Formats: sequence, C-alpha cells, structure tokens
Amino acid sequence: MSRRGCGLVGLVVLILFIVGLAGGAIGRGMGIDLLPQVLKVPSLEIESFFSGEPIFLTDGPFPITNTLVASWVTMIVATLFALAATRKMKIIPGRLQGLVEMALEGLINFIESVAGHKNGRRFFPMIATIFIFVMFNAYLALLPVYGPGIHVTVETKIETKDAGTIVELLVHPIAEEKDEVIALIKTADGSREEVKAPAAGEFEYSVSVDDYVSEGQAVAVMMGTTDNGTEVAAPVAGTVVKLEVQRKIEENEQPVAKIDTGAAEPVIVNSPKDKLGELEYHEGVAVGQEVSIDDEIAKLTSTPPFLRSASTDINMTLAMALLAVVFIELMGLTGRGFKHYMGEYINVGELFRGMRLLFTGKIVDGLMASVTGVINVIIGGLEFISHMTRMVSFAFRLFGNMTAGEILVVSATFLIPWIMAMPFYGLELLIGFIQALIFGGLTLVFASIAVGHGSEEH
Amino acid sequence: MEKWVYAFRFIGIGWYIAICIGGCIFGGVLLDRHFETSIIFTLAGVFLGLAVAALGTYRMIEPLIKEQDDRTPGGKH
Amino acid sequence: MDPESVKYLAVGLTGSIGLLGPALGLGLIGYATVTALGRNPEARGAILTNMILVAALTEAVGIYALIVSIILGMVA
Repeated sequence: MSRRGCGLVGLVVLILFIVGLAGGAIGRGMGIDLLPQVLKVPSLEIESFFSGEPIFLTDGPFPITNTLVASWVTMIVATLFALAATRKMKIIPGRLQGLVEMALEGLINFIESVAGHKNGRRFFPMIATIFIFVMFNAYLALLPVYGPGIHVTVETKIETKDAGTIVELLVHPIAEEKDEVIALIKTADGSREEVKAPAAGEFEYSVSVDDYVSEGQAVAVMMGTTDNGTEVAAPVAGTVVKLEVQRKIEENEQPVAKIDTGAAEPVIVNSPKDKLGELEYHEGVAVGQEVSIDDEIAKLTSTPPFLRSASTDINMTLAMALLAVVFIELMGLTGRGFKHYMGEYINVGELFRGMRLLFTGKIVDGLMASVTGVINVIIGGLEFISHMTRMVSFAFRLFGNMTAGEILVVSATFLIPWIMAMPFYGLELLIGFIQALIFGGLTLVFASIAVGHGSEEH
Repeated sequence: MEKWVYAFRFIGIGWYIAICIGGCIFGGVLLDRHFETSIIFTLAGVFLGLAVAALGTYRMIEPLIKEQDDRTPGGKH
Repeated sequence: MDPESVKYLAVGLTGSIGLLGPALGLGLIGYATVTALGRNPEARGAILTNMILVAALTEAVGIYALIVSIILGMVA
C-alpha cells in the first residue's frame, strides 16, 4: 500500500478510536455522552454461564438451546463446504479443492507422524471430525450474527407457590439513563407532557395509570444509591396516561413479591433461575390483593441471542469429551485385546497367587504376594480415575477457552466500541485453531498410547 | 511413534490431582455433616486425597523417571 | 461493604491472584525450554518431555484456584 493509503487508514482508525473512547462505557463513565442512542453499544450480559439459553420448547423436557442451534448451523456449514469442495473434482484442483486437499493432507500427515501409518488411517475419521467441528464452531462464532445479534423473545410466567395476601411488590422500574421518559401526563387542554427521571437508577411509582396529579405532586420516588428518596414532580396538572419504564430483572432469583400467608415471616416469590429480562406485573396485581396457589402474578420477557457459540455450552463440550474418551477406550480394547485391556483396570492376578500360596502353607511368601496384589488392585482403580479425569479436563479446557474468548470480545466491545475488539478477533482466530488442534491432538495421542502401550512395554 | 509423544499423557494431570483432592474433601465434608462430627472426616479426606493424588502421579511419571535414570551416564545400565 | 460485594471480590481475587502464579510459572517454563533447546538441540525429546510434565504440574496449581473460585461463586 502506498504511504498515503497507510496514513488514511491510520487516520480513520484513530478517529474511530477517539469516537469509540468517548462514546463507549469509558466516556459515559467520565460524563461525556455525545453518541445518539442508535450508535450506542449496550452493555451485554451472558445470561447463563455454563449452558445456552433455551429458545424453543422452553417448557418441555427437551428445550432447544441457542448453542444447540449453533452446532446444527456448524454441521450444515461444514457439510456444504465439503460438498462445494468435492462437487467438481479435477486432477488439477481449483482453488477450493486445492485448499481442502492441502488441509486434509496436513492433517493426515500430522496424524500418521504421531500414530504410525496403520493406526493413523484408523484414527483419521474421528480425529479429523473433532478437529473440523471444533474449528468451525470457533470460527463461525466470530460472525456478527452470533451472540447478541438476532433476538428471540421468550416469555416466562412467574407463579405464586403459596396462598396469601400480597404485602409488597419488590421489583422497581429502572431508568437506564438520566432524563429517560418515565411517564406521560395528559393535561386538561389535551396536550401530553413527559415526566423525566432526574438520574439513572431504580425508582418506585407513587401513582398509577388514570390517577389525577396536580402540578408539583410526586409521580415517582428514586430508590438509587445516589438520589435516594428524591421525588420526581409532575411538571403540569393532569391525568397519568402511561407509565413508560419497564421493570428489570438483573440477577438470578431476584425477589419479585412478598406474600403474607399467616406465618410469622412473609413468603418471598423469586424470579426463575437463569432468566433475566423485563418484568411486567400481571394486570390488577397490587399490594393488599389476595392470591391463591399458582396464581400468575408476573410475566418475564427476556431476549437470548438466537445463536451462541456451541463450545460455550458445557453440555456440548462434555458430550464431545465423552465421545473422545469412549473412542480412546474402544481403540485400546480393540487394539490390545480384551484380556490385556481389562488387566490394566482389574489387576487381581497377583492377589490370587498370594491367596493360593497362603492356602498351600507358604505364609511369608503368600503375605508378600497378597500385599502386592492389593496394591495392584488399588493402582488399577487409580488408572481408572486417571482415565475418567481426562473427560473433565477435555471438557473444561475447551469450554473455558471458548467462553473466556467470548467474554473478552464482549467486554472489549463494551469498553471501547469498534476498535478495541479488532485485535481480540485476531487472537480468537489463533485460539480457535489451537484449541481444535489440542482437542484432536490429545485424543490422538491418548488413543495411540492406549493402542501402543501394551505392545511396547510388555 | 516418537518417544516424547508419550509425555502428552501428562497434560490432564492437573485435573487428576485437583479432582482427587477435591473429591476426597467433598466426601469428607458430606460424611462430617452426616455423622455431625466437626472436622475429622474432612481432615481424613484431605490426607486421603493427597495420598491418592501423589500415588497416581508417581505411577504416571514412573516410566519417565526410569527412562531418564537409564539415559544419564552415571545411572544404572 | 455488604456481604454480596465481598463475595464477588473474593471470587475475583481468588481467580486473579491465584492464576498469576501459574501464569508466571508457565512463562518461565517456556523461557527455560527455549533456552535449553537453543543450547542443546539434540536433547529435544528429553527437554520436551520434562517441559510438558512441569507445565502439567503448574496447571494443577491454577486449577486449585479455579475450583476454589467456582465454589466460592456458587456456594458462598
């Protein structure tokens, strides 16, 4: 690129950086607020940490999560890619075919260098599948449609578990920024006046729709830490026609209402676990109202992303790790024969020999052999534990790396929009490849050790 | 297969140690709660976990130690 | 400070300070390995074997911190 071109790109990046710095979370924290609402990057929340959020069949026994949908997308994309690469195969490959041939050749060379020719050919389908699946998952998750791009709205009903009288409604509306419109008042001459929040924070309405307010009367009371107790006065006299601001659930199992059941302590109704979003009390629910068991008192509306990287779901990585471990054990079983394979876990030969010696009268020899036998059995158990912990380490390594990467990109985007996330996207490309290599490579190494162990040591 | 490929089996060793110790302590805490003793089973769990982890780790690196003893000039042949 | 914020502080500090040590350790292991390889390239197999072993044991220390912070975050 020419010198001028470089300078131009540098200038654009610098401008974007400054605008991002001023308009992002850092700038907002320092009190600069120059971006229009449309361009603002919202603060992003990962609603459930260990697994994806259900988006279809949410109430059923088998909810479809967004991570599951993402893994289907990965399968479809990988299949289409393979079909496109092999559709018109030629002796002298074109670009796509050449790329795929090169990648597969590199993969099979790697596998054969570790496991040898014969075993390498046997392991190739499984290892290559794991590698390609993990890598496609990681790379597709970098597309902007993943994460908070496409939204699906899920409604959850909140029901009471006990009968009684509502004593207190605990969720308050939240004004997300200063001067947000929190109510509309219709004056006598028909015009509509807005009531604005004096600061961002939680507040409580002291009026309801259709109430008449006189000028200066309190419409709401701020509950936040800074402006505690500040009253929001009505700018004009008139009838309240609309209370604008939604209530928000921001924590797991946040208390929603207090119900007096006649017992000493009032019962608290919580919002459901792993569900955040906007809460709307059911029509007519108010303090002093009687409720019976399983009455619906509120509705929670949350919007999980439609797609979320499949490897950020612990169920997904655990399933893959289970598959890998089963593959390793199966290869050990078929490669070394049933007797040798089980002998590693249940090593009772020495114990039996010791018992036999004891019964034939050789007490000292028998005792020695028995002790060695017991130790051998314990060591077999240790071997089993060490094989099973592989599953945990496989699953958590992939899950941890992918989730950390996602959170890294999200928080970088939140802090300084547009520019700051770019280096991390590059890092994510590297991490995706390395994690695929590690998952596939470790499966390969363990499988070839399981196969080759017996023939080399015994 | 190259010799050092065998070393890759140690990659999950951290989880092995952590799970042995953590699992034994968890079991000890549960037993303590069940029998309403204060700390005996937890302590026993700590030592059992340490023992299991150390034994298993030694088992895993045993071939490696032997191999390196053989390779060093002063070692036994 | 209320108990809730102290809890989050504890989780974060356990994770960050606890993982600082293994991170430094892994860096030192990598440094030492590369130096050793540069001095004595023929001993590649032995050096790599020992590197992987020590790196795995260092990882164990990090996993303690991880497990403690997960337990703190979920239980406490």
